[in-house]
Parts: sequence; structure tokens; C-alpha cells
Amino acid sequence: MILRRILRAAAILIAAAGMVDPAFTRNAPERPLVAIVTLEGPSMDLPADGGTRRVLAGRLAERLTEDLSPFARPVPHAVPGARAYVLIGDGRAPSSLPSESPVYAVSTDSALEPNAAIAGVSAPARVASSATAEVAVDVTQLGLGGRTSVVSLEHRGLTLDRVSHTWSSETSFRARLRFTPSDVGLARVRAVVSTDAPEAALADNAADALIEVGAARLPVLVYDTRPSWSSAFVRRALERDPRFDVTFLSSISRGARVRTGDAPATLADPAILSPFAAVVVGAPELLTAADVSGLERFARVRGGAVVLLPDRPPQGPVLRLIESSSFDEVLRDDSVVMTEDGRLRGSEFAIGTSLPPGAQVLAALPDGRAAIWTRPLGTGQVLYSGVLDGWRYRSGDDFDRAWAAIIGHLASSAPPRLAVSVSRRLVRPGGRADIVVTVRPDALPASAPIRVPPVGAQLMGRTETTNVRVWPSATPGRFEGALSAPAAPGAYRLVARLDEGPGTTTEASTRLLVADDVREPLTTSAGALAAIATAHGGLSVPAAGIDRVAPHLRERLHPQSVPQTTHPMRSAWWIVPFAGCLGGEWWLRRRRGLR
Amino acid sequence: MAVRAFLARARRRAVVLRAIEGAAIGTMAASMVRVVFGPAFARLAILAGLLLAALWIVSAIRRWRGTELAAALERRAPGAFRNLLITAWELDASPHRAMRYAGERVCRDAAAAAGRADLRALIPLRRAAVLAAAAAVATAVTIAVPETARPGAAAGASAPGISSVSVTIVPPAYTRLAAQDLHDPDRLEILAGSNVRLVVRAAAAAVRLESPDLEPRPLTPRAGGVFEGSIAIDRSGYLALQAVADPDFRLKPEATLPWLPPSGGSGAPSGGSLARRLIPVTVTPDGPPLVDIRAPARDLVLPEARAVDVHLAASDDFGLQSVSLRYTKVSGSGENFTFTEGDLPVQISREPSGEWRGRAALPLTTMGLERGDQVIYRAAATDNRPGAPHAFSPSFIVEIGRPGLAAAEGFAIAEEHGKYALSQQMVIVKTERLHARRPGLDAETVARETSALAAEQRMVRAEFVFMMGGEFEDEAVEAEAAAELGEGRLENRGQRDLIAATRAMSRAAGLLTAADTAAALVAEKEALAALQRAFSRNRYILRTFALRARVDAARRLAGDLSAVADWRRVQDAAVADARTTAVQRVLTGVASLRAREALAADQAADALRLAEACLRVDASSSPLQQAATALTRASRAISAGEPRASIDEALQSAADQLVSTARATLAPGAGAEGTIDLARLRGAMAGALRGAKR
Repeated sequence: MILRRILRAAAILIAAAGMVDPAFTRNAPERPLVAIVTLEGPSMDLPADGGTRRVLAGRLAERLTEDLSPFARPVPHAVPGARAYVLIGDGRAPSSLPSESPVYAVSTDSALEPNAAIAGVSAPARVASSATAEVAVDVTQLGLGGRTSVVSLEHRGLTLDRVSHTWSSETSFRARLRFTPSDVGLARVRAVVSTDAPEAALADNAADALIEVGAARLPVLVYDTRPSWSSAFVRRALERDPRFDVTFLSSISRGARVRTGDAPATLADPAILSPFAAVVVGAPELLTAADVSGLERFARVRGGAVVLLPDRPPQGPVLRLIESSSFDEVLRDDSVVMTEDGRLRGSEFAIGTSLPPGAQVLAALPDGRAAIWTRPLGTGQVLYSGVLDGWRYRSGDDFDRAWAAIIGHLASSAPPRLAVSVSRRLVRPGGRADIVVTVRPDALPASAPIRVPPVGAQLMGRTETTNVRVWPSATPGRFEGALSAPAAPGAYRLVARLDEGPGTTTEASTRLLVADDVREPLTTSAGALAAIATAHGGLSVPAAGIDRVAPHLRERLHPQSVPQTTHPMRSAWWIVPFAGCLGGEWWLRRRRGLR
Repeated sequence: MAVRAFLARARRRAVVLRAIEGAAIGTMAASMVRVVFGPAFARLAILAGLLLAALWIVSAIRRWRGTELAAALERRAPGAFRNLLITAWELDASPHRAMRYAGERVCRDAAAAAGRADLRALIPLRRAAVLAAAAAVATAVTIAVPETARPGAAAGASAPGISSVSVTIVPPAYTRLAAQDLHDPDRLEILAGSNVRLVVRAAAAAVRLESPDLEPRPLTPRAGGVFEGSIAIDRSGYLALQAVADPDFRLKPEATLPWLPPSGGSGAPSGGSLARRLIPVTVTPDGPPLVDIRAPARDLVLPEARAVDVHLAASDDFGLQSVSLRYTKVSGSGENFTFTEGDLPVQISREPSGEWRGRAALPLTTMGLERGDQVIYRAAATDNRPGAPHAFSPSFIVEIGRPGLAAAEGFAIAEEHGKYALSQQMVIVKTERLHARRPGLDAETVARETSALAAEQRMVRAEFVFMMGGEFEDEAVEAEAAAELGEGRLENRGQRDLIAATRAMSRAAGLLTAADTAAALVAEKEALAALQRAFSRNRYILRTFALRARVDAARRLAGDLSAVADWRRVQDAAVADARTTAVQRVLTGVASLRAREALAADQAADALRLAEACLRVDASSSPLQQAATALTRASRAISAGEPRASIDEALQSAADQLVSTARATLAPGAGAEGTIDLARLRGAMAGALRGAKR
């Protein structure tokens, strides 16, 4: 009877405790969590230790897991709460590494020798179909001294340009190749390096770049305070070039002007100048102080280019832009070539006695004095040409081509009202790319605090459109984000929109190409990873030094006494005593004839 | 029954007839299929013939039986049977349909009619047999005779082709060059005016000759698949030979490269590149004669008229026809000049090298020359080319009695005359530099350098003094009073300015010797100004001195402005250079071919059309000719099924030439654009440097 009641009570107690689910907390030692992250950079396909670096990284991760297991809990990916991170291989480090967690970098890099590799390809995003584009290819080498490498630029299987370079003791070389467009649209070009010697690896001998052929015309204002040959012939060169949309104004007499388009009557208002990417000024010595202020703000804030083409030594307010108050007048008995390509010549010069800080010389006299130079001014640039009679030496089309190239470069450097750029324009499906959307400073409302208008971005394919979130950064007008390339290969357009009010939306776009066979420069980020490891108090070791990681971690990571909460009633084993009590109680009842 | 037996015999004969007809039709059909689709479709032709023959026979057998057979015989001889045959056949099949006696009567009469009837006349076999025999003969001819032997037979062929091209270049007769024979040339390099004879072996109905300057025209067909023609060529271009199956052949534009215009009103044949042959032609013009005056070969200023011997030489690549000495006498002064022209005979001696050397005398004494008059002379030569213009030597001048030169014995004005005025500028430039560096130099160095500059200044002065014929005691008075000046008061002033210049130079040299660079600079610039004044007024020196025209600033904005108004100029948007755009399009086509994984006959035709497009852009351009040659090579390689590597090599060769051509005119664009962040950084750095500098 008593036993039966005890059994019944015990069963009821178990059921009640199960329903209550009591929790008990106590301090207990715990093995630290260590994240072992195998990086997936493009260089992981390069050979290493008889296989690829990817294979080697896998082996290193396995071995480290074994080494860590006695005192830590290794996990094969970055997880929140990890007490340490071990980055094996080469590639992009996880974006959020806690500053208090030590980071270890295990490099799989191995010196490939002899080897030539493409370290980078730099190409303009857009080029007019009436112009060539410069594609800069950085090539590195190891163990190829005395050998000759040929760097070529290919498009649709055809070699468009090639440069050969014989290596001596240098380890890098920049090849400047010319891309010749043949058709409007996206052009995927491939830089290829080949050497007259066997190489340790060929996977790093090619890299792709994307160029969009068919750029919009560059808006340029030519403003002559009086008729001037210096600017007239430059203007004619620009007017003949389909890359430019030239607006022109010249004061031909008191109260009489010749103009094209909607040329502004004054340069004093930078807002009127903002549609232009460059302003070319003829006879700048007649500019007023207000004109010069307008031009200065045009360069500083709008980021435009101011081109000063005097035909006599400058004087007056414009000296503020040139930052030189005195000039040497140089009169030569013969014309001299001022540029390497020999396109610009002159015999009369007004050379400033000093160069402004940061000036970049574009053309110089044989004695080295700067005849044509640019200098940065805020976001923009100022160009001063001290060649007073360059227009007299217009043999062939050298003069036109040289000035169109100079002003084209300056104008294309002027930022648009809204710009969108992407870190990688050729990506594999699923690949990641960082994007930056920039609103030009003069497009931001002049309010304090600055209220940046809404900015959005979309990735548009043929059939689908994906919204891309961009976040404002610390710099006003700069937004950052990241996108994951769609799975479907093809051409995509990344469109950014700036909502400036009802019915006023500014758009900017850039093109992306998603393809399976993208070749990227197999650059190593070992240096960056080593810096991260050092900054986080960890170690940076080569693959052979993997043995040093575990002892170092054992020293750094001690088992922590952490509060542990247990729920004893959640154990499934409770069903055994519960069933036993109920069964015993039932058996006793049956023995007594009860039901 | 007699009628039934008659009809059975008739049916057998009809079957034989249809069999013969079927054989003829099948043979003809097979022959047509072979002609249309070519020998490769022989099996198809036989199959088609058999099928048609079988269909024809079966249809006849099924149609020629019973009532239909009787009706057909009735139609062929209505007067003989009078419907008895068909009635008897129906009564035989269904006797109860008529009274017995009537049926017997009909059958009896029908049997009688059948007995009288002649089946050979009712169903004749001879015509069908002849037709079948003719078809068999035609088919045999079609199969047996080779394609190339039948110019006309290819009318139905689908794949005309050119097997070889023989070219004979006949240079112009006046060159006396021998004709040149070429076989299957890749390109032709000929002399302008040459005649090109073409002998083309082709399996085609016609071969058409196309050229950029001519309407397409057929070559003359000869026996054995040979076509001949000739063309006179004066300009670089190309010759395109198009073999066609039909002389009126018109082709649809190609689908793979739709932007390329059809060539010469037609595109490439569907049969591939063998049907079209493209031969780039580079024409070298006959160069004009080279003629030169060897002596005196310089301008002369003579104190008085005398005979001047002139020696000259001339040569030509294909022989000279004539050489003469032409002169123009210029007399007068101020604005009143008279010009008299004439030719002088030349004594010619012919050198073994082909050069002609001549000698002539300028009879200045008999020309009635006065002081200040000039004679401008030059040699003229012509070659044997009909209608060729004269070629001239450089001109030289003889001037008589130039003021201030009375004492000189034929003073020649040196070729490097221009440098004297400019050398004065150099003296100024060097003095300025020295003056600028002077604070940092010791006295000894300054003295040494100023002495060197003084020497240079004296040298420049000496040249001018020599040019003027020596020093005068009082140059200004002498010059002003010179009565013999032929060029009027302006010349007089010019002389005076030259004298002023030399005096300023003397002063400058003295100041430099005294190491007074500042004062020397003033004198030097004064000398330069005087030289410029002098040269701007001298008629003769103006010929050799390029003066810098300066705008008179004092006159600017000094006019009546009441009618001045703004002007809005309409500026059309610039367009891309059409030639470059065309080259880019050809390059696009080449890239399209290169990017294709498989290349077939259509691509061979495309390559040929691209080659033609190259030459249409600019046939005289050497790079484009080379591109066209490479594309033609690629076309042949594709047609011949050569390895892909050789095709790609030819395409790359063409692309190299196209890229270099396009790049010569395309604007040199910039490299990768900088970012606004980078621009900001540069601006901030420059600002910081500026601040630190202050």
C-alpha cells in the first residue's frame, strides 16, 4: 500500500518536475572555441607542395584541428564567440574579426621560380569608340633575369597590342598597352604574359579587364576673354573630336560676343559652370577677380578642370590660380619639342619662376623647365600652358591630338554629379564585389548638418533586378555596399539613383560581366593577412611553421570558468524511472486485485 | 471472249508504253538532280529517277484497266468502236443489265471492231522509245563530260569555282619594260598605266571582273573553261574575279556579316571562296624627272649684267624626253613690275647612267637689264610619259646692281642667311642667361663669358657687314643719298636699318667686353629690332625670311561699334572619321571570325568580303592592302580546310594591320580614371604642401 503510494508519488513528482523544467547554474571550465578559416583567394589555384595551395590549406587545417583538439574546440569556419581565428591560405579575411581575438595567418605562398605573373590590370571603365584606351598591366617576375617577357592585350582572340620587356634585376614591370575599340558595347580584354623560358606556373599569366566602349561626350566650355589664337586652335581641335561637346564664348569686342550653345556670359557663378567637366580659358589675363573665384570654386568643389591658355605672360587675378607671380619669357630661335611623343612644339614661352605644390609637368623645355603643367586644386585641377605660340606648329594633326588627349584626360577625371564604382567588374557567379556610390560635393544641399538625399542602387540583368543596399560612410555623399554576383552569367548594369526631390532623380551606372571563366590577377594578400595577424596579437607563419600555432594558442588561450546552466529534467532518461514507477504501481494494484 | 482478249493485249501494251515513259522521266529527273545539286548527289539523282519512274508506271497500271482502259481506247479511236468496246466490257461484267440478244449483238460487233483495230496505232511505242533514248543519251553526256569542259553546262551547277588565274602585266610602251607573267598571284604591284591581261580557268557559266573603278563586266569565255579579259589600271585597288553559274546571278547579302555591303552588286557565292578570287593591286606612279641646277646653284647679285653659265643635270626612271632652261625677267620698281618669260636652249650630253647633263648661258647682257632688275631661272624637264607635265628644278635669282654691292665681284647670298637674324636672338638669349646667373658667378667667370659673348656678337655683326658689302664711313648718309637704289625709299630705309643694326651690335660687343651685361642687352635688343625693321622692308630678303606678323594692338577695339551685335554660331557635332569607322568595322568582322569555334565555307566568303572591304576603304594604303592579302589567305585556308592555327595566324596578321591603321587616327585616350577620393587626397596634399610652404 505504502509502496504503491510511493511509486505513484514518485511518478507524479517526475511529471511535475518535467513540467517545471528547473534550471541549475554553476561555474565550470570550458575549452576555448577556435575558428580555422580556409581562405579562398584566386591564388589558391597556384601550385604548392605537389598540389595546389587549396589542397595544402586543407591539409594544414586538418593538422591544426588535431593539434588544437586537446585544449580547444576548433571549428572550420568563422563563428561568433570564437576566442581565436586561424586564417589559412590566401584571400580576403573575414570582414568582422573581433579586436580582442588573436588572429593567426598561415600562408600557403611559396616562391614560384622561375615565374612571371600578372599582378594587376588597370583599364578605364569607359572609352569612346573614337579613341584608344590605355591598359596598364603590372607584371612581376622571379628568376627570369635576362629573359624576355611579352605582354599582350587580347580581345576576342585577336592580339591588339604587345610589349616586350627583358628582365634584369627588377622584379616588376608596368606594360602600357593600347586597346583599340572596334565596336560599341562591352569589351572583355585579356592581358597575357609569356616568357621565353619555362615557368613554374601558368595560371597567373593572364588576367581580364572590362571596358565599355561608347562613352558620353565630355562637356567642355571654351571661354575667350578676347580672341586668342592659343585657345582658338585648341577649341577647333576639340570641336573636331567627337568625344567632346564644346560650348564656346568669345568676347570679340566691347559688348559683342560670339558663342555656341548656351555658353555662360560670365565665369563668376560656379553653379552655371557645373554642367561642364572642363573650362578652357583663352587670354586669361583679362579674367576678373569674380571670374577667377568662380573658376576656383569650379575646380575645388565641382572637381572640374580649368585650362589656362595664355598668349602673353599672365597677369592680374588669374595669377591666383597659377600661383606664380613672375614669369621668364623664353624666346627661342627654333621651335622645340616639349613632349616625349613630339606632338607639341613651341618657340615662345612664359615660364613661371616657380611650380605650385603638387604640380605635374606635362611638357617641358629641353632645360627641364615646366612649360605645361597641372596642379590639383581641391577635387579638381588647373592646367597652365606656358607655350604662347604652340598653335604655330600644327604639323599634321599632332597639335590637335595632343591637346584633345590632354583635355580629354582632364575632363574625364572630373567627377560626375553621381558616380558608382565597383571593385570588380568581371566576377564569377556568386562572387563578391564592393560598390561605392559618390555624390559630388556641389550636389549636396548646403545645409548644416548636411542632409544627404536618398541614394539607392540596383543590379539589373536582362530579366531580373536586384536591390543593392548602400550605406552612408563617414564622408558626406559617399555610400558603400557589397553585392553578390548573380548565378546566371551575362552582362549586368549596376544603377545608382540619387533622389533630389520630386521628379528630380540623377542616375549613374556601370557595367558588370558575370562569367565562369573570369581570369583575375592571382595576387597574394599575404602581406595584408600578416598585418592583420600582427595587429591582433597573433602570429603570421608560413606553411612550414604551422607547428608554432598550436603552442602559441595554448599559451594564449586558457580554459575559462564559464557559468553553465543545466536543465536536468530535459534528459530523456527520465522516462525510465517515470515508466518504472507507473508500471510498479500498476503491478502492485493488480496483485491486490485492484483495477 | 474476243473483247476481253483484245483488252488484255491492249493493257499489256499500255504497260509497256508507261514503262518506257517512266524510264524516260526517271532518267531526265535523275539527270536534272545531278546537274542542280552536283556530282555529290548522284545517288539522290538515281533514287529520284527510280521513284518517279515507279510512280508513273504504277499510276498507269492502276488507271489502265477495265472500263478505264476501254474508255481510253474509245477516246483514241471513237469512229472505230462507237462505244461498243466499253459497252461490251460492261455487259461482260454484268450480263443481266441488257436483253440477251442485245448483249450478244453488242459483243459480236465489238469483237468485230476489235478485230479490225490496230493496237500499234492505238498505243504507239515508238515515240516513247525515242524519248527514252534521248533522255538516256543526255544523262550519259551529263555524267561523262567533265565539268570544266562545259562552260554552258555549269549553268545549272551550284558550286562554280576558279581553279587558276594567270596574269600578264604589260607596262606602258614608253617604259620599254618587258611584260611580266604571274600565276595565281597574291597581289599585283604594277606601274601606273599598265595593262593587265587575265586568263582564268573556272568551272562556271561566266566569270565577272570587278574593280573599284569599273562596273562589273564579264570576261570573254573560251573553250575548255577558260575566260579571258584585260584591264588598264592607273590606281591602287583590287581585282575581284567572280565565277558564277548564271550570268545574271544576283546573290543575297550574307547573313553572318550583314553590315558589309554586297560587293559589286553581289555578295559572295554560296559555294565558298573558290568561286571568288581577290587580288589586291598596288600601283606605283611613274615618278617625274629629277632635274637640278648644279652651277651656280645659288642666288647671285651682280654689279652689272654679264653672261652666266648654268650647268644642270636631269634624270628619270624611264628616260627623259626634253630639258630646257626657263627664265623670268623681273624689271621695274615699286608696284610697277613687268615680267618677261622665255626658254633657253641647253647643250645636252647623255651619260651612260641615263642622266642628262646640260649647259646653258644666261645672256644677261642682251636682256636689257637695269639696276635692280632680276632674272629668275630654273631648269625644266619632261619624261616620255604621254601628257606628263614638266618637272622643275629649284629657282635661282640673279639680281643686277644691288645698292651697296658695287665693289663685290658677284656676291652670293649664303643659304644660311636666315640664321644671322636669329643668331642675334641667340646672343640676346645667352646674354640674358648670363645676366641672370651673374650674381652667383665670380668676376673672372663673368669676364670670360662676356668676352665669349662679345666675340659671338662681333661674328654676327661681321656677317651682316659682309652681306652689305663692307663698312661705310657714314652709312646712314650713304644709304640715304644712294641714287642708284632700285627699290625706292623703302629699300633705302631697309639699308639704313641694317646699318643701324650693325652699329648697335658694335656697341653691344663693346659693352660685353666691358662685362656690362645689362647695357649690352639693351644694345643687342636694339640691334634685333633694327634687323626686324630692315627685313620687313626688303623685297628680296622677304623671300627668305619668315617674319612674325604682329597684330597692331593699338588699332584693336578702335572702330565704330554701333552696329556690333552678338553672334550665335551653330556648331555641328563632330562625327567620327568615316575611314577609321570603316576600318573598325572590318576589325569587328575579323574578330567575329576569330571568335568562331568552327569555320566553314560561309566564313571563307566572309573573310574574302572583309578583304574587299579593306580595299574599298583605301586601296592605296599599304597596311590595308596587307590586311586584305592576309584575309584572302585566311579565306583560302578556310576553304582548303587547313589547320586552325594557320587560319588564326592569317586573321591575326590582318588584325595587326587594321589596328595600326585605326590607331593612327583614333584619339589617344586615357588610362584608368582616378576616383574622386584620390582627387580629394591629391588636392588636400597640395593644400597641405602650400600651407607648409607659407
